[in-house]
Amino acid sequence: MALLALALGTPALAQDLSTMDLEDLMEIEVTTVSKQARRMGESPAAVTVLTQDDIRRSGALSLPELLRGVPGLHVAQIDATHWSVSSRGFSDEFSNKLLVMVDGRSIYAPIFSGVLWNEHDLMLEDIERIEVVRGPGGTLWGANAVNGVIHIKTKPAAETQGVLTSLQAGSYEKANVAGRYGHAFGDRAHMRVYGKFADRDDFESPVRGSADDDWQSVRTGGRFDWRPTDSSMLTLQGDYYESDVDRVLVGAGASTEDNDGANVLLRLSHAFSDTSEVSLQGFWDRTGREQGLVEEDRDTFDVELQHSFSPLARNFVVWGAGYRTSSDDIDGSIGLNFSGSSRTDELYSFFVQDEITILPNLLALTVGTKLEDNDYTGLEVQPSGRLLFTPTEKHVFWGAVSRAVRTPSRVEDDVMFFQPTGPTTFQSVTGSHDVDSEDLLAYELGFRSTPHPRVNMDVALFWNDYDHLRSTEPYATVPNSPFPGATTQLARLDNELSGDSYGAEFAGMVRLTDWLRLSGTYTFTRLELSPTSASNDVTSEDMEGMTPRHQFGIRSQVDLPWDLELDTALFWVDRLQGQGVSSYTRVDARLAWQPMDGVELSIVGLNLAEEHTEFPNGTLTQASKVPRSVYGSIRWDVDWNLE
Amino acid sequence: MSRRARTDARAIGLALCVWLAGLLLASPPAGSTPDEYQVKAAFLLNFARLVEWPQKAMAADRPIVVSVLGSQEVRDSIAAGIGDAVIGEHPVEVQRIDSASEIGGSHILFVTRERAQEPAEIFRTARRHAALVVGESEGFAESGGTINFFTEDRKLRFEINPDAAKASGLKISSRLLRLAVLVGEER
Repeated sequence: MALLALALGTPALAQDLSTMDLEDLMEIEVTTVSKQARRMGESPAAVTVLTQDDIRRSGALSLPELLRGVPGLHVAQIDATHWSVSSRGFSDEFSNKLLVMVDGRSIYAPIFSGVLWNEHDLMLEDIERIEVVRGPGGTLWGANAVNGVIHIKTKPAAETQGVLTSLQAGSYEKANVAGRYGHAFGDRAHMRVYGKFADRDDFESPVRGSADDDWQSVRTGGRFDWRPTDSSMLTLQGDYYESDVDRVLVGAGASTEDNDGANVLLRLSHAFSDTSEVSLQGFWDRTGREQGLVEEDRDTFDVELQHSFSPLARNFVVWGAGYRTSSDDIDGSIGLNFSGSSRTDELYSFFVQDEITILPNLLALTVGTKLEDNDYTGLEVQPSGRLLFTPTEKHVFWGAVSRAVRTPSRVEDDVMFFQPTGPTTFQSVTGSHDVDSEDLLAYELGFRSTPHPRVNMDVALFWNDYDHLRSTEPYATVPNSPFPGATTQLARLDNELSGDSYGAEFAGMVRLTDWLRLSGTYTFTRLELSPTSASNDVTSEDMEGMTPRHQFGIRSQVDLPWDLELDTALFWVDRLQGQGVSSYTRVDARLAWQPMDGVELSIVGLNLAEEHTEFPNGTLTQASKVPRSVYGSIRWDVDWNLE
Repeated sequence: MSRRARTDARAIGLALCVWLAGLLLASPPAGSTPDEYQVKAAFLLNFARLVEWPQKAMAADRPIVVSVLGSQEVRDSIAAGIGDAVIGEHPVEVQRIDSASEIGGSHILFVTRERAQEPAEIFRTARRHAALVVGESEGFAESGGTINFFTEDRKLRFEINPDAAKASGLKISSRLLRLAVLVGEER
């Protein structure tokens, strides 16, 4: 009750302010340290933010395609329905060192700690921003945030009022139809509901005709925001989806897969003051996957409490605690099976972080740690220290040392995987309960600068020291198995790889004139991994080769007269060494016209330069060629409300 | 790992919770400094008093419209700061807008720092509608905004770009100019 009174106490002060003149107002001290409102330039980490405007002007129609061109990331499309998205190396069909969230809900699949991007065909118009943090985020976000965190935030319901209709159709996008309706209940409560359907065509296979990898998805959901007082907020949101995904499995042929899922999230937050805020969030997430080799049903329940406050002058503390339980039910096959058809894993976590202003407006130190107790490896400690140095308002330097771990997933503990490696050779890989967490000690340095109001630049350097990386250890060969004349190699998973990765990421933006904006990115990433002397692992060179050493990107956004926009992007990605994937250039272009407020007509060409493959065959997914494609789009946003 | 390690983890977690709860209870009552945006709202009222709009943009006994390009939170905070202030015979209305296309009818456009990445279109539209564009981001006035807030020793200050005011057809009183840091447009 006391807190409520405090919150209601502020308008009285406001009345006094509104009659004050400028000279008096200029003597008032204000506090601007809000965690949300923090300017990007002030965070001691390598951060890139994609706004709704960037999303719209990119012409991309899926989440992974949007992430192309973010420095430090490597986005490779394996076939029409599968992507490898990785940060600072370790690209893989099952890349697993990245945490991805939508509105605070983790969307990586706990079975292998990676994201199945074709399950998350979001309504892109409703995304407010995508925050990409490269480097370890383990202190705040916990395990799996080893090499980066991608946080997709949808717009508050108040910002999606009225009716939006969006239609796209073209050579690859056969039909992409989305609609949304937003409604206001007075000034303090807003809601939206949306629906989306997409039908996408096959790509071409590098060896024969159609790659048999088309994709249909349906998704619907909504969000309700209620602000009972000026300083408190309740959000209830949820989604339901079904996707029908085809692909060709390596060594097993065409596979038709049905995925479905649903989630509900409730979040309550209250701000006691500018510097003190508490939020409580709970979500339930259900996924069902019927894939060629394995069927999985999973329920995850997660609850988290977070509190930020300023206990002493110059200190800003954020702490939180969480609990997660995830239960699965798995039905495998000869090719892919799991020991134990169902399993429930629990996770307890706690974190605390203090941002200490050592010298106001000059030097700040952020120290913190996460403690996490999981069912696979027990207690994991992930501390970090970050230093922010702001000698002038225009230049920011930062440095960080952090420890992060990737805890084993269900696959590494329990998998039994059997696959042909040639006409008469087979491999059988099994997981192990002795598999330990992968460890990372990361050193980062960064520099951000606004040398001129129209120029921004951002440089980040990192050196990552890995230990106990996952290895595959062959230990026996069985003759005349599974049939006479054939041999099967037996292997188990272990932690016998270690090594370094290092790299540099550069991003620059110039607003040459009011109507022309140019931006460029360059990413250098190098991995040097090797097995320990006790190991027989042969995967480390492939692991190194799957990440391109060099990536360039250039983007231009031009505002033409007559309400036209012309946007072009060019990406160059280095070859994947030893993987049979050569370097490629990708060109995207978009021309849009806004004949009246709220209406946008556009024509978009994607990958106009050359048909190419971006990734080798994965363990499961056979690679396809990414085709040239063109589509037309209509978006119509009307301010209309049911009364 | 062992049961023992798990029990330890929970014990450490619990101890830290207790310690933090103690810190929290011991911390001084928060909320002693006013909300940043309520103070900015009071500045906006003063700007409205000291700026003269062209005749066509300001009809008699019509309200002065303050549009916030930013989040609902900021709009609410600014609306709370303005309360039911009246300037001359004009009441003051606060609304939230989502894009440059909604600027029409606004007298003051406040662009929050989250929305200041793409100001070119905003400036163009605002000039057409003779709106006073106020920002709170570094370089905002130099790149074409009329007024820009910044902080100095935790106190609010503002810069004015007189060329931008002229281009929008706004007349700024000398009293306001005296208190501001004047900046020029960088081309």
